[in-house]
Amino acid sequence: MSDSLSTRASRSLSGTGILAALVAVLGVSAGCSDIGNSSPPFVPDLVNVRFQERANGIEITDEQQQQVADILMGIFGTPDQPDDPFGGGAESVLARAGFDVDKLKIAAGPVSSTEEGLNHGLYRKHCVHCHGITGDGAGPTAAFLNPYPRDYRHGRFKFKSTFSGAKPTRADLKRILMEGAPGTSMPSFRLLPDNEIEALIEYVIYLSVRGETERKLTGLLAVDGFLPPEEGTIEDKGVLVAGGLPLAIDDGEAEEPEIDNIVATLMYEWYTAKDQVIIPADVPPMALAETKADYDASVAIGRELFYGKAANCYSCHGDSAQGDGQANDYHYRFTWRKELTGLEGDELAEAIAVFRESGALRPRNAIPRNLRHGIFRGGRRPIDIYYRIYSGIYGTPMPGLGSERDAQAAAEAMAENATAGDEGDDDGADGGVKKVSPEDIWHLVNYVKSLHLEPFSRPIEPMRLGAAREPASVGR
Amino acid sequence: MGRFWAFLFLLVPILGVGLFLVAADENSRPLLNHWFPVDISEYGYVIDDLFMAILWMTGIVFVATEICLVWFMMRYDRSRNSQPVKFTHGSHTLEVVWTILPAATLLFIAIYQMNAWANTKIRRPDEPGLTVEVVARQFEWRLRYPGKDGEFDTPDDIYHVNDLHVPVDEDILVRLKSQDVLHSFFLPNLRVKQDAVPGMDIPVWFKAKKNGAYDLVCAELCGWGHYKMRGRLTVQSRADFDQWLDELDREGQRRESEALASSELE
Repeated sequence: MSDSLSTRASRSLSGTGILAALVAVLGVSAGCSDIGNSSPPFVPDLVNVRFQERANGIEITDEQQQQVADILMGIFGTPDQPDDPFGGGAESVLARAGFDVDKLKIAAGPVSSTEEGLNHGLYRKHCVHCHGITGDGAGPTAAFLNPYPRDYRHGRFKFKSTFSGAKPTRADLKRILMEGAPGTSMPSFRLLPDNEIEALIEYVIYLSVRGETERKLTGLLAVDGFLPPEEGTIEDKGVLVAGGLPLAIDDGEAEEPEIDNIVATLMYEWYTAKDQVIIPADVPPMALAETKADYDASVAIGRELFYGKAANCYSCHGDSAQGDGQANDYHYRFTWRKELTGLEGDELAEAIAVFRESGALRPRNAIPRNLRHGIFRGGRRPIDIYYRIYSGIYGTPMPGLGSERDAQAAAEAMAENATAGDEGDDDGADGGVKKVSPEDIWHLVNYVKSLHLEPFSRPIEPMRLGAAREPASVGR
Repeated sequence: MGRFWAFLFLLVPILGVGLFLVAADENSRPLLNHWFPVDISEYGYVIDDLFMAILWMTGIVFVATEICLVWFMMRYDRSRNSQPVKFTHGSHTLEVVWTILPAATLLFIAIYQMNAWANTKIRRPDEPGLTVEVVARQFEWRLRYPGKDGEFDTPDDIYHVNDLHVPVDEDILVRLKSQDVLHSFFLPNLRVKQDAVPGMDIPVWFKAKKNGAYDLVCAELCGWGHYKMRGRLTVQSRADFDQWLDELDREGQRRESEALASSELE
């Protein structure tokens, strides 16, 4: 049976058969090149739509969603053409809002390169498979990663040098691109040329502003049921948004934020991020740890603080600093997590299903960092860890221990951020109480940086038969 | 039809040998630089010699076999032979010859390669000029220099990523680890290639003889981002290297806000 089959098969592979097969294969592979030509669109933030609907008990109609999409298209264009999508030729909205349109054009669009070796489509080459075409942190590979990739649309970035609630500086974004985020799936792009890094930074800001605009518009829809201004057709509003855009900055007096102020306000936040940079306190001489005795003493003070009531680090990071404290907070990346708080069993499953259907990734708990790995996602320089402790990690349960100024700035930023229906995540700011002095934070920095060097942190060496091994001493 | 196939198969050795000849010519246009990359290592020539020796052996056998194949196809083409096929079985001499010849060749290669193997896997430098830890992970190379005290796991360790610098003319010992899956640490210009295995601390060593910037790539398919796992090896003089490492150390110990130094505040 099998004999006759194989004979038949070998007969069919006669000379002409092979040639025909070769031609067929070549033909198919040549045809494949067409697939790359279809350009992907920006994806609407349906999760936010569902969230706003549930939070406000109203329905946002398809027409209203289309209205938002049209406005966004008028300002931000398409993934292929971020600028001037209709070819008007006039000075573009984005340029007037302060974007470097040339950089955006290098980063946007399909992957290509010129004969001179200039690369285009950088975002799709390096970033899109995790961060998604819309910057929603839900690209094809995102579901497999832990932690999930950043969703730029919230405008919240974790690892930055600014006060809680503020946007990161360009230098902060550049640092993440250059260094990567160890312990996450974000690799280093250190070897990319500087102009490509700069283009990618510009594009990330563009996606973030676009996404935040969308979220705020949806928020306005959910609360008011319409987009201000009330009169005029969709087209009129598009023109109005485009026309009045960079001129008006929200002065805080208007009762409701106007559409045409939203983008300008967001851009203002990005541009003033550099004024929000934390200037660290002078390092106490002991924390400079120039001698072994100083170092040990500083680490000891840091340890006291770590387990003290004021800093309260251990309640999340655990008695052993392995991140085994609280583990029940939902990942703060999801705006809709508040919907899940207090729900259990079937109710919880039902609520999660609603958001999952509209494209959300499965919610995960926010697990505190295991500090004994010696891996610091936002950088391991003392200044990086100072920033983390001082202002917390924005958008996560990690609170800032910094000064009143920080708490105040955070609260202000929140108030500024919060448009109707989009309550800011002010979990980081803790009511303006100065808890730990900035000088003490330097001791905490030294302690945190020393943790992975303790014998308890070392991986257990495989024991050979007959070998004596000292039992590792536990830190506490 | 037999002739057609014979000539078609004849193309295989001709094109195969031709490809090697063109590639070996440094100035050949279409395959420019498709032979080995420049060797800048102390022991790389041993690997290259071994490669060339085996290439010659297999090349000669390959060409001879192909010629036999083509000759048989032409000589015994069905359209020109009306005689029925004759089968023979059993030639003691022939069997001994085709057993002993390959066995002897393999034995020769096994002994001949021992020096190359020992250089790369056994003769670890006693006092390396520099030890550096390379931790591969999806999808980058995390680097760690021991700092001033020359020991790892102390507060003065110096960390970096993807951008490996080493001093020229010194034995470099790499402690190769992996954080997640199999990777392979490949320095084409130094003829060094070693898999990184999770849970293992594998020593790799080399001595670079020429300054410059060279590729550091991952040579084991390690996931969807394998292609972006590209690093750079910079070989520089000891003085330049020390200066570079000092700067890296200073940056790693930074306690001042960058905004004070940069123009961000302006």
